[in-house]
Amino acid sequence: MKLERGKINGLELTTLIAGFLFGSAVLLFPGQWAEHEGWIAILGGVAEGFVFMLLYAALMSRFPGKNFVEIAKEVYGPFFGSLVALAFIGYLFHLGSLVVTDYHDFIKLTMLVQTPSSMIVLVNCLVIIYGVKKGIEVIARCSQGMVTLLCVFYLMIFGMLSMQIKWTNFQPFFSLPVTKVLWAAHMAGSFPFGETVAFLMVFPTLNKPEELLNRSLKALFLAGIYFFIGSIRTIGVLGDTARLFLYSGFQSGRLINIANVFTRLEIIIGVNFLMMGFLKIAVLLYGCALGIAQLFNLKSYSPLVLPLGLLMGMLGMINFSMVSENFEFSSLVYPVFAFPFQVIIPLTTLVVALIRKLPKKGDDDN
Amino acid sequence: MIVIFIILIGYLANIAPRLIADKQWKELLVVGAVTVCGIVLAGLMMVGVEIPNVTGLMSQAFLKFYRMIGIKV
Amino acid sequence: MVLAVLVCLLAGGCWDRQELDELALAFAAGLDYDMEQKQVKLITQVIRPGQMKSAESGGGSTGQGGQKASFILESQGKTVFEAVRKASFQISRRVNWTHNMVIIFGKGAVKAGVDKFLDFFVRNPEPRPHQYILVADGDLKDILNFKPNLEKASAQTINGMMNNTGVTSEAYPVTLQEFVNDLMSNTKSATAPLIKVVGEGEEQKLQLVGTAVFRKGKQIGRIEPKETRGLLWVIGKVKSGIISLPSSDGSEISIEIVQASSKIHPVLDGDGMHVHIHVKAICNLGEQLGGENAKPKKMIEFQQWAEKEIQKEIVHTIQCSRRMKADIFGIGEAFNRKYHKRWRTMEPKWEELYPKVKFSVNVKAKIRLIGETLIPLPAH
Repeated sequence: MKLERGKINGLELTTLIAGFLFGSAVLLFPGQWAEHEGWIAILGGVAEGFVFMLLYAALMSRFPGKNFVEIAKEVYGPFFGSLVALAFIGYLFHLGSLVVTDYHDFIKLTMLVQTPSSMIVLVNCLVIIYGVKKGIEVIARCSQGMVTLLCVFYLMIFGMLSMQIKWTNFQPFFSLPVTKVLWAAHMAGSFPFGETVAFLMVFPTLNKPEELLNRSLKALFLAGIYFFIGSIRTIGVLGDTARLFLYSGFQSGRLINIANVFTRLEIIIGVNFLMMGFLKIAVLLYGCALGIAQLFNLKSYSPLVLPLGLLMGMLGMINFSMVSENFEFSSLVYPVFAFPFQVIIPLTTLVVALIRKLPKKGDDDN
Repeated sequence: MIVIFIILIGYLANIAPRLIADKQWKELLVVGAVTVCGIVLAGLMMVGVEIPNVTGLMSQAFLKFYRMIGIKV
Repeated sequence: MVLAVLVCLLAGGCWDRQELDELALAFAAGLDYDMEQKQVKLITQVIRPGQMKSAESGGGSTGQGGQKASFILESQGKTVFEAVRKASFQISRRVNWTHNMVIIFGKGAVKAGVDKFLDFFVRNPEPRPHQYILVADGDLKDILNFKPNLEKASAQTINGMMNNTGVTSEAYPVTLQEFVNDLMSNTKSATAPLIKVVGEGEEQKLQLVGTAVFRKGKQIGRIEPKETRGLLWVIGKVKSGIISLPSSDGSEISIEIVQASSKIHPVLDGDGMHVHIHVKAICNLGEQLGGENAKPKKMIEFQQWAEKEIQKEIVHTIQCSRRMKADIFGIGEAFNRKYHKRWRTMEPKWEELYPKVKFSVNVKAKIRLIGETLIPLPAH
């Protein structure tokens, strides 16, 4: 571990992964494609994420204390390894910019309508850059508090909406074509569960590597349960109109109305998104900066954070020409586009490592 | 936009001398390259040049591919 | 560079600050449509936030002394959004829709189909899903211009009326969320309450006069308040109300509904389509105009009469809906939930199939409390 000297403990890892998973998904509804069967899609997504996590943990346990860039260089040799690592880092970078895009679109639509895009993105990125520069332990510790807060908020919102849930909205059961539900499940699997591949850059900082699988799976189930609760809330409250809205989670929050006093509380969902978006982009930016520094054998990743962060932000501004393109991308293209990065690259790396019988005992990086 | 541009230039101006003084050539190269990319992009966006929408284009390409192999989208 | 950062942090939110005294709050919106000119006509009832608090004097807070608290803006455009923005030509501040309480449709709009006009209210983040939807019976402008006695703006009156419909349960307060949900169904007929200004001059007041029934967004008919209660019985939304019955000894009694629930059971068999509607009502004895004491035997009789009366109300509404071929209860959706596969063939023909559905109505009423007296007045 040349570059990263910090360590995070098991609980921090759990909350960090959970926060990352919550990321942009508290706002969008991962199972929306499956309409009133979204809850099935989420269960499917969790299962898929579970399998992914096993894969990542297997890779990590084979190369303890090494992040993905180091592993790639070792498994594929310095040249091809660098290419693979570069592709991986590119994916993380692009993903970060996508979250920035989501962030920007949401804030622009609901809160800061007239503020220029660059300002929104800038303020957002500066905070994240500052956090990442301080180090991964800081981010992990932030995640503890933020995720706890999120869990409380989430349950509060669910409680406040529970009376408005119409159980008939979940019927008719199993009426949608299976392909649609399966695709929705894969959508949920790739966003957000498959994105935990980013943690291949973070896992090595765990102070007790044997706890890795345990802690990660806890995070997975935590996030899964919350998404499930969220889907029950959204489908139950919005019914048929759930497929109408871009931000269905947010819209369901608009219906909170307790005794005409507790209204307009959907802003809590916005706050949730702000917190979790921060965590997600921070982890991704960290992964990129660390990865590039590792790739070129630099002494520190810290000077890279600011330019990379701002570049990520700028890319976030130009990613799409319109929001509907974003929606089309996330529902139709992303589950296919992300698959190589979330599954094929880690899997191939593991397989090649097995074939080449790596890591050789007492061997350094090639 | 102009702010991002200024920040990036300022950052480079700040960090480059330090790296040169420490003779950290590799760091300088990498950091410099990334920052210069940012400066160029920020500059272009500031001036108003239409940057192609990267992911959007990729998305369109994928959809064309889907239609080619027969999936209706 | 630090300076640049500081400026950003401070100025970030300033672009979108909205000071209260710079806003004109829209409280009610009236939408109408002119078919010949293809123009959407919008009447916005706007509130001046400052004036809302100035109702100190006990009586006579009609705002004649100072500025009016509410006034209307009329504008038109090819689309709702265009009309919304055009309204700003008549006012010094920006109209803010986040507090809009009520959307009322005029005659032209319900003829043209209201679903398209709602897109603005659903898509735009400012208006909120709890707004009530109503249909104007009569002149839209009169309703929005109406100056109420208790409130500052007629929007608040209407909002209050919608919140209080549970008192008689003879009107169905539909929110935007529910209305849009109904419109999205291919078979359910959406409904919205009808409102009109009744009376002359000083004696004017707003009154709910029934419920408009829609098909695919266009109004196709109306049902009376009593019939609306039949609708509410079936969908389980009756909150309270009075059932007045003639007792067997000639005296009138009033039964107060305290709680009601319903279950809709669709059955599809070789015999055709059946719907079993089970209604449970818990009531109190509210009033007796003479007659005998409320002994248990008498109460059972009252219960049976109440059940019959409720059943009558429901059956009458069912017949109305049959005549209009409008599935206002959502029976189609009930079949969809239970018999999804067969529903797919039934759904396109639902307009023809609905009148053929056989309803069976089963009402169970229980009169629990009798108030504070045992003997009806005059007590001899």
